[in-house]
Amino acid sequence: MSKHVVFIVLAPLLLTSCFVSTKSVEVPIRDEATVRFMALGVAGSDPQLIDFCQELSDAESGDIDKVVHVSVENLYWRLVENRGTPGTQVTANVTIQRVGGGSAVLVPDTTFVLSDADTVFAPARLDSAGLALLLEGMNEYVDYYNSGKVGPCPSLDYTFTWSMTATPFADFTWEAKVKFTIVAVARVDVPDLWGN
Amino acid sequence: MIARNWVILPIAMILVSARAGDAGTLEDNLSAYTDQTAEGYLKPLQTAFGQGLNSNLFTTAAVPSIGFHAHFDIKAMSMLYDDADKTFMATTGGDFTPAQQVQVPTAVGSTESVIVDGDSGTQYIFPGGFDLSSFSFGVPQLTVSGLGTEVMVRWLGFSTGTNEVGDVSLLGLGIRHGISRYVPSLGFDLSAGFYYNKFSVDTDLVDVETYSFGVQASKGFPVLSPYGGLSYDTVEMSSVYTANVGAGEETIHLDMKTEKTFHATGGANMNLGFFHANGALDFAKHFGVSVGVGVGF
Repeated sequence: MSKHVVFIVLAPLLLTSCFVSTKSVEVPIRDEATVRFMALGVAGSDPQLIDFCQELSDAESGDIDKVVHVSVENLYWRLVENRGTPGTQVTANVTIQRVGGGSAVLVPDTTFVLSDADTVFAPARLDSAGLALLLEGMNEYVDYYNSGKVGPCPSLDYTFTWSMTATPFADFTWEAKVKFTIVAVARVDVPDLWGN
Repeated sequence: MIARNWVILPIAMILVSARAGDAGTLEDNLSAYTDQTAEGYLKPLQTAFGQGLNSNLFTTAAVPSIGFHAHFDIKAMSMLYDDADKTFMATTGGDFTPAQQVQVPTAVGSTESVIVDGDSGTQYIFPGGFDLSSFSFGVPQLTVSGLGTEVMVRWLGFSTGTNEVGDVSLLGLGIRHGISRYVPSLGFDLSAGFYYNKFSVDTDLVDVETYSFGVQASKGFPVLSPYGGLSYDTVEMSSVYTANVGAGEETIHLDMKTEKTFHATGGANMNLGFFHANGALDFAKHFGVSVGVGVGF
């Protein structure tokens, strides 16, 4: 006799279904949006687009009742590949611009030598103005979700622009990762003999 | 990423076929915790489930010396939680700055998550719990005795139907010997026993092992016979899960601190010929209630 059959036989005896209650629990869903930049020359910039409507939709793709909160936990960066001189010194920042909207600094000017840069993700220093601009759009997604996702998703396209100067010369690729959390409410059945 | 069956751990541990919608797994909750703090989140599950496994193991201290005897029972145990089980102090994980210690729900605590503010508008989210007032489950149990010695077996196994957990199994074994047969003048029955339970999940999300060493006493009457016991119990629990703390995912192998406690039991067994039933109160880490019904000779 298989284990499954044994359980089916025993399950009614356990009388467990009579003390199951439904609860609304807040589920934190952690996810991330990643973007890759190129740096070439002694100065320059590289804009990259992230559609946070798509990112948030992918993250919450489940059976949830509503979204109560969205937050950003951190922004990470790492050197992917340095094709230039290891001793190159770089000063760079990242600005964020909502397409059709305002812009702000997300990562203030930071100076580093490429040979000191890690290929493992490390946290970046953030500017609160840039983060606030990003969260403004994410909160619009919360409203959109909780109103039943009627109509098209609000435009949450953000351009991340990396600007740098390098001495003597830069030729490298790096990657940034925005780590965010969606707090969603899901109804679940839990066994609780003495619960309400 | 939300996987199916948010309540898969309580299902697996409580052996209840409760159904959830397409919500997350407990692993989603645990993903916010490194091994230092996950223990606090899971502790009430360890203590209550362990106490339940170490409960309802006997209904009498009278171990027959003559003949062969067998009982088959369905046992149900329920351990109650109090306010102290609902919260614990957790530390923000990964690279979140500044690192902070906050009071947050355990797995049986409030369903509301806790939001912690960090530098430059960042936030760290601690998951809520399942808001449980008790931890209850049932198991089948077979007891065979003869020559003053008794052997107990519990077993249950099933497939959860999910890749996150896979198959779940519970095995319990015990042996007990009657002591009062050596002291006829005692005036009541006395025995001593050792019990072992192992609960395991294919994916190692949860593994629990319990040991119980104890003595039991009872006084036989025609219909209702009181019994009691005192034991020293241990509960070991481990968990393997994926933490999403910091820049990336990390597999956490969590070996929780072994719970050790004295466990007192007092109850009564009702004999109705071929049928019997029992009820008892348990006093250990939690206050517990145990009942059972069965057949035997």
